Amino acid sequence: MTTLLELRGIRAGYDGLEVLHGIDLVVEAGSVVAVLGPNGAGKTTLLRVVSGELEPSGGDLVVGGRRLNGVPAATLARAGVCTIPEGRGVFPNLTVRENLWMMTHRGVGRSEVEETAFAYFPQLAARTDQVAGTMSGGEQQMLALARAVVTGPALLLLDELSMGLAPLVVQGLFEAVDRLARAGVAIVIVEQFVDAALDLADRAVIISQGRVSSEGAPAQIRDELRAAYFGAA
Amino acid sequence: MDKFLSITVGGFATGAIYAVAASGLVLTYATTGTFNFAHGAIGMVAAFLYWQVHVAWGWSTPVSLVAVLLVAAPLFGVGLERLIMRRLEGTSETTRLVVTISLLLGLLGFSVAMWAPGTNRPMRQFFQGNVLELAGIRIPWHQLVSLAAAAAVAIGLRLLLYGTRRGITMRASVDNRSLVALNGSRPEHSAMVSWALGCSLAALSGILIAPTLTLSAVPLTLLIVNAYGAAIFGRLQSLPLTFVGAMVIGLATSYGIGYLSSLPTDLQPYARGLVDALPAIVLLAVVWLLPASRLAQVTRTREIAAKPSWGGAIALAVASVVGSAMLAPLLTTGELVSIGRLWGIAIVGLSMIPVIGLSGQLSLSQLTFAGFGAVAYAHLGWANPLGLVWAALVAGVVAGLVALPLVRLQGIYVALATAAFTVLCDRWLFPLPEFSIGSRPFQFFPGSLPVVRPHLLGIDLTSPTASFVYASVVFALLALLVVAIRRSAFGARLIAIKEGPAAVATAGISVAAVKVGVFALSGAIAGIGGAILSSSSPATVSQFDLVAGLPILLVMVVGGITSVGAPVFAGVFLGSPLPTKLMSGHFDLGRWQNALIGLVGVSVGRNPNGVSAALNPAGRRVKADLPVAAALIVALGTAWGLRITETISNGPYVALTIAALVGSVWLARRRLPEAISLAELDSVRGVASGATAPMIEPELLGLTVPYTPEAVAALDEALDLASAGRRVEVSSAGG
Repeated sequence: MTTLLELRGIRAGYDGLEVLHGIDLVVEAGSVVAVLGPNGAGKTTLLRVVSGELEPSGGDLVVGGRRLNGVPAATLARAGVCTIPEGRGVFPNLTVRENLWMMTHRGVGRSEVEETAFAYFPQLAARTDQVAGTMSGGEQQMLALARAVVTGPALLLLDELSMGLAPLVVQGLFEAVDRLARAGVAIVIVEQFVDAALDLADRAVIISQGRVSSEGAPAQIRDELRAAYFGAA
Repeated sequence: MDKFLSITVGGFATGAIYAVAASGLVLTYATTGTFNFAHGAIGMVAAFLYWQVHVAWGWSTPVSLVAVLLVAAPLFGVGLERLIMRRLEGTSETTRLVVTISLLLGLLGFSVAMWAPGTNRPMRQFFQGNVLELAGIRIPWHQLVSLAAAAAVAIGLRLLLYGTRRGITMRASVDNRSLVALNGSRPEHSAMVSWALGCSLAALSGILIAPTLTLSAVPLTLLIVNAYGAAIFGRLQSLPLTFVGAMVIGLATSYGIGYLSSLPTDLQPYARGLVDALPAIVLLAVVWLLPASRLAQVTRTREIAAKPSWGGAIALAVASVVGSAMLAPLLTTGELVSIGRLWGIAIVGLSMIPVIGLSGQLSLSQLTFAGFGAVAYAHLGWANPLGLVWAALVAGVVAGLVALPLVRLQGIYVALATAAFTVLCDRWLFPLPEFSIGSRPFQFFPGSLPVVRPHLLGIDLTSPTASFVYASVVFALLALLVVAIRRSAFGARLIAIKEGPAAVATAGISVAAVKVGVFALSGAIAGIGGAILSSSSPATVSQFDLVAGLPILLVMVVGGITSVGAPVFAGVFLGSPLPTKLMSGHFDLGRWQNALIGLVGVSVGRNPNGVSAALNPAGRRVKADLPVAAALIVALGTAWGLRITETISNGPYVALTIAALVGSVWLARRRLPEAISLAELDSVRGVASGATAPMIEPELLGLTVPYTPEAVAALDEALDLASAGRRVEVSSAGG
């Protein structure tokens, strides 16, 4: 396996307040890594660093063997880093079709984008001219995921995909993520639904107070978490 | 019938120009979220530039058009975005609006400085002399060009915004800028394209409208009010509805002007202003008919309305009165007349604090309310303090009535509706000829208002000196009132309706009542300001118009719109000849004043809390250092002593005073080791004494600042929770 993403001693924060105090993380091409941890641990900040939204104050962000500290988010997106941010990753005032057209930057035509997206999520096909903000939360996240489907990224960053959604809807979305993973997209997933994320992941890390506190196979991390919450057996 | 048809075609042609202007406005608002108040001013400067290259320098029409529409205007737009608009992220709507108002004043000042007013600059219509004869009516080609331009703009914008990736990105940027970047597009490029296009459309409308009017800066700039109406018709989003609105306004003004002469001669003077104000009336009507805005959940900005301390407020009040009393004897009667507007302007500035600073309601009518106050004061003619009560009452009632239909609206709509009300008063109500109320003849402004100065408790305040000091006393009392409002539960509600109206409503407080209340209160304060203004010199209509009010708002925001120190700044800057005097001989400030104000105003984006907030730490350092504070008082007293004994003249006196103030700050800073921050200074002084609350950023408490009971107590104090807690304890103990 080749290394797609490597974080070496990443430090980052806001207005002089450091949130990440030296994170090391390796994501192999085609693998799924679950990032877990309590609220305020720095999970979202970590994804913001990888997506290029937040420039790290220290350490190296290496994607595909190149150090990319300070490269703007738009450039990283064009290079194949697809991010579905926390909340709904759609433009609420654009129609479904216009949301999809925003994804034509990787040289894919409009009709091709629509075809691919609707094949993956047939529910969206009936709503092409509906304004995205008026759709249900699950449908909006489907539309957001469609971006990953049509742009064929090397790396997909998912931040709380399931937030505020019913378990059944979440199950559907995770199936779509699973299909993407099996198609070879490397995924970093930050999730509240720990079990669902661990089911999907090849590897998991726990971040606590801006540091990696534990790292390993999903089964091992599951045991550690259980021990942390319910005490050692 | 022919007359009707030709007026109708004329109306469509005018509407077409408004449509071009309004579509530019909607384009920038819908794609960047900034309402460009300076849109008309950009069109105005473009029209002057076109005159310069085409008429003065003799460039051919196509070359001139390309130079202005495709080179100068887009470049200006790109510069605007890169240098100013990009820095406005995270600022409130007030700040963003004020920045564009600054731009308006700056451009107005620039054009006056570049192209001296009073010179006749004829501009020919496109294809002048050519007319199309159609079904018996003669249509000038210029009108056809206008219609064609509007059609081309409509089709072009539609294709751009809905058919191209760039256009969709422009619309997406308003929804979520960071998501646009995550989608692989650069939102800043979209914003640049928006501003470039917006400026080109403003320029096109300016060039089309200028030949039908005279090439004159203020009327061309204010023509934008007509386009505002159209833009609001489309709810600042829909381009088709914007075009419909533009046509409605174009036709209404065309019929108004066309059929005015058909009215009975004695009615015409009353109706003329109404025709001028028609677009403002349409704007008001549309705003009133708009459905209620949804209450915003929480608005987070980097602007903070710090709670003023009583100590500071009393110091300001005393300094204002003592300063005036010290200054007045130094000035000649002539100088007193020219400085007399200082406190009137300052009070109008003060009136902006509750309504704009605290509650975030962008009232652009404060100076108009002052106009009502001035009229009430002059007409009721009671030369005693009751005159001020009448001024406050009348202006307060007018402001409350204006606020009634606005309570459902927020942000920019409040600004536009109040601007429309101001224009309605400027163009129609205030200049109305004499009419009768019952059997009494009445005229708002009979030329200029008589100057009424009071006797108070047997003291004659009619001399310019006494009147100036009296005005400062009124200001000082009102400043204390504003501080009391800010510190009261009502003040907390005002800030709450700015930052979280939904939360206020769910707490069982009527947002509508708070809004009407704050408008009435601010209107009343402004009314007193108007009365004070009219008691300093004969007041005329133009002193209370929209363009006169904008610099006050601007200087207030630059000074810090929530700070009671800012009005003094506004009064000194706009109501006294001090800045002009200081610069005399070196620089023609009068000519460049508006341009300078504009330049200063656009810097607001960098420090949205204003100069007062920036100066506050300096003042606190001086106050904390007793020897330096004492030295400052001695220095100020000495300078005054030298002046009153006529040892020195005004110039050195002002220079000495400024040097003493700056020097004391410098000295206090030098004496204080750099390592000690203000927060530490406060903790050294002891929070328990209650002298000053430490400046703690709540987010950092427990992270970079130790989480101590003192810090929590200070936060409670700052948030007014301490007294709330006490009240609960008392009531539970009582129960």
